[in-house]
Amino acid sequence: MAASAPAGAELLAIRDLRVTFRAAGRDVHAVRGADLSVAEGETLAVVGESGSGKSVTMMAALGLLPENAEVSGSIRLRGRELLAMDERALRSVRGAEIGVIFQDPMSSLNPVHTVSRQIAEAIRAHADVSRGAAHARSVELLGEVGIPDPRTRADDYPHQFSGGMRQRVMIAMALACGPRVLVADEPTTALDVTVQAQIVDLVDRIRRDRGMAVIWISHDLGVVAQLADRVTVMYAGRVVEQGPCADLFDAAVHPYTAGLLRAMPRLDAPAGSPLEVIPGSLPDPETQPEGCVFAPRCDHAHDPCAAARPALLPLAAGGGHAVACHRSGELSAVVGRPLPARVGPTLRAGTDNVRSHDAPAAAPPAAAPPAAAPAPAAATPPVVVALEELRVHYRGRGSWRRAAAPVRAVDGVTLDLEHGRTLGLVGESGSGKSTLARALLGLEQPSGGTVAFGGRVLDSMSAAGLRDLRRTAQMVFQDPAASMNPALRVEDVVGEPLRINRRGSAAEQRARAAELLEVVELPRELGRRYPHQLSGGQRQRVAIARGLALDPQVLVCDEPVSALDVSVQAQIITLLSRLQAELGLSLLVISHDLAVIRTIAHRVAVMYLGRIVELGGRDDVFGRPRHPYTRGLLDAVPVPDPHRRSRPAPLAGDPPSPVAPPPGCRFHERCAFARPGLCDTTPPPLEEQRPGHWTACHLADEIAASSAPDPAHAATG
Amino acid sequence: MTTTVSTEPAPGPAGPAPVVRRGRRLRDHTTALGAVGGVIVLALVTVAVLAPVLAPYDPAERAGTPFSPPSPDHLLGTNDVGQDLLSEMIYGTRVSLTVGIVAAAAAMLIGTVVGLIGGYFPRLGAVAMRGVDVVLILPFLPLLIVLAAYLGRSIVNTVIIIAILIWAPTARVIRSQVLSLAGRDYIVAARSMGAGHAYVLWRHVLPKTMLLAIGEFVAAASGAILLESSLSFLGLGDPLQESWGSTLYWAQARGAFLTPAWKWWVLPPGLLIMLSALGFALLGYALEQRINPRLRRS
Repeated sequence: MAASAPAGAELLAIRDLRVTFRAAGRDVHAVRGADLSVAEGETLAVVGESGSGKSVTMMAALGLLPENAEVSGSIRLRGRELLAMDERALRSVRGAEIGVIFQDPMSSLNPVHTVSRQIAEAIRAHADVSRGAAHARSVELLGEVGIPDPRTRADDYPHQFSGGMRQRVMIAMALACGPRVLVADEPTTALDVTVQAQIVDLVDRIRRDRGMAVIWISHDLGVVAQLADRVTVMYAGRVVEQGPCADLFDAAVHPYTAGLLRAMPRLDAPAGSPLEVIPGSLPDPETQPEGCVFAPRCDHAHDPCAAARPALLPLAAGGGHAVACHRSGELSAVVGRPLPARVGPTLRAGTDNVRSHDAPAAAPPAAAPPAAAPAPAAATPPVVVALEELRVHYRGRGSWRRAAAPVRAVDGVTLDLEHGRTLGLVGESGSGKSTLARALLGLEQPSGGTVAFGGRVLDSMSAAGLRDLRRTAQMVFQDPAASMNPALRVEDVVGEPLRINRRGSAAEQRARAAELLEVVELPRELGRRYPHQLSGGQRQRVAIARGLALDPQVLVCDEPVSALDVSVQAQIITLLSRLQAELGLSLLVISHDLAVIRTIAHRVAVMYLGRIVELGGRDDVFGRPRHPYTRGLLDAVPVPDPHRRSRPAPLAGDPPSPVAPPPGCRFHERCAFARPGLCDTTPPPLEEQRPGHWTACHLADEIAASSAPDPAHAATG
Repeated sequence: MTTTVSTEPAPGPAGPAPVVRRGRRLRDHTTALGAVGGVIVLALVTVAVLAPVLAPYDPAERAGTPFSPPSPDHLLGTNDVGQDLLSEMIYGTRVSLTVGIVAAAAAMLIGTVVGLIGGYFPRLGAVAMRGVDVVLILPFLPLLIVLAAYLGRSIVNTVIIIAILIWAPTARVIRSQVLSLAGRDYIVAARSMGAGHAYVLWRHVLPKTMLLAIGEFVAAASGAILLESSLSFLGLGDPLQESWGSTLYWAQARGAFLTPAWKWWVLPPGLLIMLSALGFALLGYALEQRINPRLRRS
C-alpha cells in the first residue's frame, strides 16, 4: 500500500482491514478497507467522528471484536499476522505486547479489588512472578504514572480515586507487562480539561521514557495536535488522509479533514469567526458505496468521485502525507489559502452581532452578516432572570449518630441573564453548573437566596404561578436521546409541552409541532418517526424545537453539543445563534468546552466549587482572564495547532469535594499564586475589578502585573 | 442558512450490535420455554372452561363404590364417598386457576400502586418500602393459617389472604423500574415544561412499567396456585369448592397416602398442581426475560 511509513521499523501495520458486523440479516460495514501503521517510539493519532470505525479498527487488532464480526485484511505486529492467531496466542499478545486504555476508567476497573491487586493480576497473567514481586512492581508502576504516595494508595479501591487518578491506574495496568504499543481509546473524553492535560502529558512522558509506540484514538483534534507525530483521519470506515501532524494541520488536503478543522470551535481563532458547517451526516453503515465515502457531503465532488473509490496515495512521491481523494492534486495546490467558495453559504455563528458592551477595545468583526447585526448593545439589555445569592445544598449521607454535612452544590451565586443574550457557564465537573440550571428552572428547591424572573421571585409564588413561570424558561439537555421518551413519535415529543399545558386541540398541537420542526430546519415528515430513527444532530434539533414550543424567553442548554460530533456541533451552535437573533431568546449555555462557550456566549461566568470566580464579557474572560483558575482552564485547553505545543504546566490536582470546601478562597489549594494567611483564610468577594469584569481573587491585580499575557490569548480579543 | 437543512439519512441501527449471536440463542431458548408454559396454561384454562363438557360425572354426586381403583367407568377411581376423582380433578382446575389468577391480579394491582408511589415519591417511598420489607419477612405458612382461621373459610377470603402475602416482590420490582425512570432526562424535561405528577406518572412512567407488571402477574399466579393448594390441603380452603388441594386433604384424612390408592388419589392432584405452577412459572420466566430491563442482555 502506498501509505508510507516513516523511517523507523513498522511495529504494527494494518493493511486493507475490513470489518463487517452481521446482525439479523443486515450487514453493518464498520471498517471498509483501512490502512495504517505505527512505528517504534512514535505517537499515531487516529481521528474520526463516531461511526468512523476508529475504535473497531483497534479492537480488531486486539482480537476483541464480538463473534458476529467478520474481519478480513491483515494486521501485523512485528511481522506476525495477528488475524491468523488463535485465541491463546492472541492473549499472550494482548497486555504483554499491546496495552490498552479505555475511555471510562470506572467501568474498566473491578470495584471490589484493590488497584494493586488488579495490576498484579495483569502482571501475573503474563509473567511467572511471585505475589510479592507483582505487588512491588504494581506499586512501582503507580509511582510511574504519578499517583502520589503509591505505597499507601496501592491498597485502595477504585472508588477511592478521582476520575483522573483512575485513568492513571488504568495506564499503570496497561503498562504492567511493558507493552511495545499502547492503544488509548478516547482516554480523556470523560475527563475534565485540566485533568485531560495532565493525562496527555503523562502518556507523552511515558512514551518517551519507554520508547514505545502510542496509538491515540480521539475525536478531539486539539488533543491530537498536542501529542501526535502522525495523524490518520478516518471517515466511514476508511482512511481519508494520513500524514505528519504538522502537515495535516497546516495543509489538510482532503475536504473532510479541512472541513473538520474549520468546523471545530477553537480558542485561538479570532472571536466571532465563522464556524463552517459540514452538511449532512455519515453514510448509512449498511451500504457499500462504490466511490468515495465522503462524496455525498463534499463540495468538490465531481463525477468520478461517486464512481470509483479513491486510493490513499502520497501527495509527493515518497512523502509521508497521503490522501484518498480524486482531486487531491487540485486541492493541494490551493492548500494554505482558504478553499474556493463553497456551494452552500458559509455559516457564521451569530454571536458577533452583540459585542460584549464592556469590551470597547475588541476589534469589530470584519464583516457581520446584515441579518445578524442589531444595535451593538450600547446600553445593558434588560435582565430576564436574576439569581441572588442562590444556594442549593443537598442533604448528605450521614450515619445515624452524626448529621451529614450538606453537599454545597451551589453556594452563593449572583448572576443576571440578559434579554437576547447568551451567558456561558463554564467549570469542571462537580462545580455546580447543572444544579444552578435546575434551580433556575425551579426543578431544584433553593436552600437560600432567590431566583427572580423579571422581578417575580420563584419561591414566593403559588404552585400555579410557578408552573406558569416555568414555561418562560425551557431546557435543552446534553443527551438528546435520553431526553425524549423513546416510545413517542417526534411530533408528540415536540408537542408535549403544549399537551401538558393544554394549549389547543390535538390537531393544533400537531400542526404547531410541524411548524416548530421547520423552525429548527428539519423536514415536517420527520414528525412521524421515532427518536431512535434520527441521527444525533437531528435529535438535538428536535429537543430544541420542543424547548421552543411554549415561546419561552429563556432557553437553558446544558452541554447542548458535547454528545455530538464536531461537524454536527457546528450545525447546532449556528442554529442556536440564529434562533436567538430571530426570537430574542436569552440563552444560558452550560459547557465544559471553553471553545464552544467562546463561540456562542456574549458573557461568560466561570464557576468553581459552587461559586462564580470570574464573570465578564467573552473577550474579557477569554482574552484577559484575571482569575488564576480561569487561566488554568484556558491553558489546559489543547489548541489544535501542532506548532504551539509548549504551554504552562497544567493545573495540578482535582477539585476538592463540595461537601467540605476549603476555607478562604476555594481555589487556593490548587493555586500557584496563593498567599498563606490571606487566600486560605479570607474568601475573596466577587468584585467588579475592571468595568464589567468581575473577579473573585485577592491577588488578581498582582498576578496580572507579574505575568505578561499569554500571546495565544492576547490574540483572541 | 437554509442549506443546513440536514437531509441526513437516519443512520440505520446505531452502530454494530454486539453479542447478537449469543443474544439470539438465549432468546430461542427462552421462547421455547415460554411456549411450553403457554401451552400448559392454555390447556388448563381450556379444561377449566369446558369442565362441564369434559367431566364424565358431577363431582358432587356419588357415582360409584367408595374407594374403587381406576376402572373404565372411573378412570381415576373414586374417593371415600364414591365421587369420581377424574371429575373432581377437572372441576378442581376451575377453583385453582380462578384463585390463582384473581389473587395474582390483586397482588399486581397492590404491588404496582405501591411500587409507583414508592419509586416516584422518595420520602413516601421510604415508608412504603419498609412496609414491603415487613410483608417480605413474614413467615408465610403460619400467617396463612392464622389469617384463614380468623377470616373464615371461603374462596373470597382465600384470594384476599394470598394477595396480601404475594404483592411485595411485585412492588419491589416495579419500584426499581420507576426509580430508574424517574431520573431520566425526559421526565425532568416534562417537569420543566410544567407537567404535574399525575401527567408524568400516567404518560411516561406507567406505560413502561405495565409490561413489567404483566410479567410479574404471571409469575405471581404460579405462587398463588401453590399457596391455594397448601391452604386447601391444610383444610383451610372453601369447603364448598373442591380444589386439588382439598382432594389431597381428603386423601390424607382417609389414609390414602399409606395405601395403594395414592397412585390415583394423591399423585394426580399433586402432578396437576406442579404442572400448573410450572406452566405459569415458565411463561412468567419467558416474559420476564423479554420485559425486565435488568435481565435483558446487557
